Amino acid sequence: MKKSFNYFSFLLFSMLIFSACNETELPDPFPSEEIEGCYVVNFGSFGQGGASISKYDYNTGEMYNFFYQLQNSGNELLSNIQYASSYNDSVFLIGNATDQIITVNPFIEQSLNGITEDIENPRFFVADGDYLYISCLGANPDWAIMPDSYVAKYNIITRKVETKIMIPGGPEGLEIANGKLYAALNYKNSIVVVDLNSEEISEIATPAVSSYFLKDDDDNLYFTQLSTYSNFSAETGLGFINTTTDQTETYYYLENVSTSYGSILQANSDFSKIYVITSAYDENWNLTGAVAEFNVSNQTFNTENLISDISGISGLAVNPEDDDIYVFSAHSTTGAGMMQIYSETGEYKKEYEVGAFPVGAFFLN
Amino acid sequence: MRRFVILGLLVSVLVFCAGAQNSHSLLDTIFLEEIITFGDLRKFQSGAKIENISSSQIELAQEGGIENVLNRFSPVYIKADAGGLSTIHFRGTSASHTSINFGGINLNSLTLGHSNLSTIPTFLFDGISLQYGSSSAINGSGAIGGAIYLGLDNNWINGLNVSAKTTIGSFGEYLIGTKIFVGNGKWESVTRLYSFQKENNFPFNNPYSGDVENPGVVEDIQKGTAIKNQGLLQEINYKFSEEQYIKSSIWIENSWRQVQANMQSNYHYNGTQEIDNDNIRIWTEYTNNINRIKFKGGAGYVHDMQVFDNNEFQQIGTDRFIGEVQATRDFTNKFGVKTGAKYKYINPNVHAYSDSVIKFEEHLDIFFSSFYRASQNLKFTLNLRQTFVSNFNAPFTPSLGAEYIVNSGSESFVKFTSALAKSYRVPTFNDRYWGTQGNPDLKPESGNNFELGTQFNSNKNNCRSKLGINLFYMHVKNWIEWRNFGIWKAQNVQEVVSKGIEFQGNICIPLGDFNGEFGFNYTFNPVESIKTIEENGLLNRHLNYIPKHMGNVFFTMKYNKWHFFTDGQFTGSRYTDNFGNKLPAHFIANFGVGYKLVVQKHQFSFSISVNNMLGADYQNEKYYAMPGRYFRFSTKYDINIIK
Repeated sequence: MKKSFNYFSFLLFSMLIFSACNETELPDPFPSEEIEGCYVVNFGSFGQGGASISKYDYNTGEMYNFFYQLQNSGNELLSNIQYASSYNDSVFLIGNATDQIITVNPFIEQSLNGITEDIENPRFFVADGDYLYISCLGANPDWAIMPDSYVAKYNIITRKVETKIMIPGGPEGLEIANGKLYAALNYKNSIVVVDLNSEEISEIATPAVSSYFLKDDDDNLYFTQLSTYSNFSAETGLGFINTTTDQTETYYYLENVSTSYGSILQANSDFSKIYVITSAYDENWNLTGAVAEFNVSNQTFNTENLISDISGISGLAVNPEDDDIYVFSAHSTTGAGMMQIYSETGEYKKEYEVGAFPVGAFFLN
Repeated sequence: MRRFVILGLLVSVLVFCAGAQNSHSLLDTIFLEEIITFGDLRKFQSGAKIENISSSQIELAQEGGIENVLNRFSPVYIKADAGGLSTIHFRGTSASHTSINFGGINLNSLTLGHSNLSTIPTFLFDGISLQYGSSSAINGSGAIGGAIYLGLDNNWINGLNVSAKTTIGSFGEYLIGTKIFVGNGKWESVTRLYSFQKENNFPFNNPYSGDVENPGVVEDIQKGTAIKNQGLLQEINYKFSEEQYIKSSIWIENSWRQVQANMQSNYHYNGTQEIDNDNIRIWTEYTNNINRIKFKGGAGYVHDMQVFDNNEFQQIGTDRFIGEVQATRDFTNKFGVKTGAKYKYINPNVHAYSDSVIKFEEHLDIFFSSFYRASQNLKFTLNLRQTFVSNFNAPFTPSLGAEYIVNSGSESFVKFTSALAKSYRVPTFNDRYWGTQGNPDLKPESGNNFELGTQFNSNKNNCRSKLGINLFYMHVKNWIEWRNFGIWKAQNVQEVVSKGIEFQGNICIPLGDFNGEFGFNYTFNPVESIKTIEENGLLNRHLNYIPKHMGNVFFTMKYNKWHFFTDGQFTGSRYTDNFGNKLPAHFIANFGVGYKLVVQKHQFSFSISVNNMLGADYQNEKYYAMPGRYFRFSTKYDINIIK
């Protein structure tokens, strides 16, 4: 009996040891040292290809252009990538012409086909649980009023669009806060709110059309206010929504907020600063881009732009590791774009050529 | 550049030597024939390269737009998809650098600046002439790279001539058209009517399915690429005398097409957009050559309207009224002048223009032309033009030409030509007035064109042949393109140099009962941006979507009632982006045979052709499929009742 007990004890101890070893030594499928970096989303030329991902390893200073091709046996990205972000060990790419959702792993390897069904002119997504909420303009948009635009509720597990939430007015940026989905309408002066439990839809009137959101630590939202040709407004800048009351409490005036579709609104890592891209004519009537800085603590825009004189500005990203600001620019959709890196204080550091027409970036670590 | 200077010097030396050796009188028959063919174009542009596409060649490619004819029988690059969008790129220039002329009307859209050649039906026209190089001094704004002249025959028929044609082709292609000439020698009515449609559901190999689970090329069928064009061109002409007549024409055209999806979208096809164009073009012209001062006056109206995807709120259109007068006086057969003025009133109707910015625009062109024949063999021409545009400054545009003709035998001559020309293009309405992106501060594009050429012509027993070589150098400043500056807007972005050499030949081959004709064109055309405002823009590299090498050959043979034809077009590789990606070169070959049956006054023609007979798998625009081998069967009926 004692012998049996000793055997049993030894076996149990061995199992514990080995299971502990497995726990500690199970290889990480996506080791940080291999995936860490800034991944620049290059849109390319609509319907003409040229989209790509550029990987910038900010630890080594190396830039790898056409990184998707490098990781996928030379295959091209066949959609123009409008937006990309990571969620739950996957990176989702929003593609136009072909309209599709492409899923890649953190190595940017694609092993499954993109999802095209019920995805028509997709723009942006936000993730929640097992779902992506994807703003779509519809198959044949009427660019004046966007009557057929919607948000597709895409199940990540089943890889199917389960529902289309009809939101006329051209939803662009999306955010989820306090159990509600917020959609920034780009063709109508309002923000749409969808209660994710009841799917009840309401609207918040705004003085101008909007494009993108930022969510603060209290689950409240900042959003851009723009003036476009079809929806002119003098009241451009940032708006603020208290998501508990769904009221727009304050507007912060800023001239010439960029109407581009890309990453024009970003915050630093502790949400003390918000950066907004603007485009305006200088004293010589040259149109140049700039990055305006909004100080969250005192709720004001700095009088001087943090970064200025960027010709062809097309996007913005902030490195969460060091708060460096990455500014993207491109004049054409067929040539190399630029990525310029600035410190948090706006000091120029360095620049790199990236793919065709960079519109933003996501960071993996 | 040095090679061009050397070649230029070589041609100049040849001119001098030939002139020194032989300065006898001209071959009148050949010279007269040429004047008749090109008329005024040649008279005041002696150094210009102007070529006709023969009526027999036009006959071979009447289905669809004029891009089919130009592709097959000229060395001009046409960037086209299969879905009814094709633009012309003369000598490496952009689509808006070619003026396309119908009477006194430049067909180019005033909003976009260029024409979609697929909406200009070959069937309606009897002649197409191409002028290579700048001709702004003659044709005004836009004629930087070249010009196309669409011609109508006026036979002043006394009787009735009716022809009707039908074509059935692969992939749902149908053409039905008729031309009715009726007149009494003074009055003439010419009615041309056609309808063309194409389903375009051709099979192709799709390497861009995006299927990562089953990678490889898949067999696919093109979807959503249908074309339906129809038009009526009605002429009413009256001849008071041989020297005095009035001609009028009204051309009503509707062009509808679906926007071709790229290959990757076609594989996951879920619909496409439609583009519907309505055009009305009216031109009336009175000619009086009775007096010493010859007078010509014309008036016209053009209505262009494009609706995208049935959205009536997003119309893009213009209406324009045109008036032109000109007087010509030949003081002697050695010296003559022409002067005149052209006025345009343009009313845009574009959803994205603000009325506070643009309600209408006026253009006034004043021009002067002259020729001077220093000897029977040597001729100079001078053209001057100044355009005035409300709210815009257009440059003064002169051109100077010279030609020297040397008899090289009793039935042949050699012609040496040279031309210097300035050119310009006023920015389009979209460039200046589109939404908040229009740029009213744009400068006009301006070019300098230098040209040298030589051509050998012979005419033996009514068998005409010619061989030619041309060198050109073109420098275009303030080249306008739309660029991102935070917002997308038109901007003067670069300077471009286009240079090259062109060979062309047309050789008559008499073989007893067989009558053969062989022709070829070849162009070597480097085009580079030499200055750009973009920090990392394309510089000192060949431009995108312009082939450096292009060529074509064609051969026709007639034997009794039979005729055979074959032709082939080579298009060199083209850059598709600034990263150095290229579309590979391709070669398209066509073959056909026809038979004519004449029964009294009735003539029946039948032809069958196979196009792209080698089944070339190619793209003219990256990611857009083109059809492989396809067939056409045509029947034509003619009746000619002359009193």
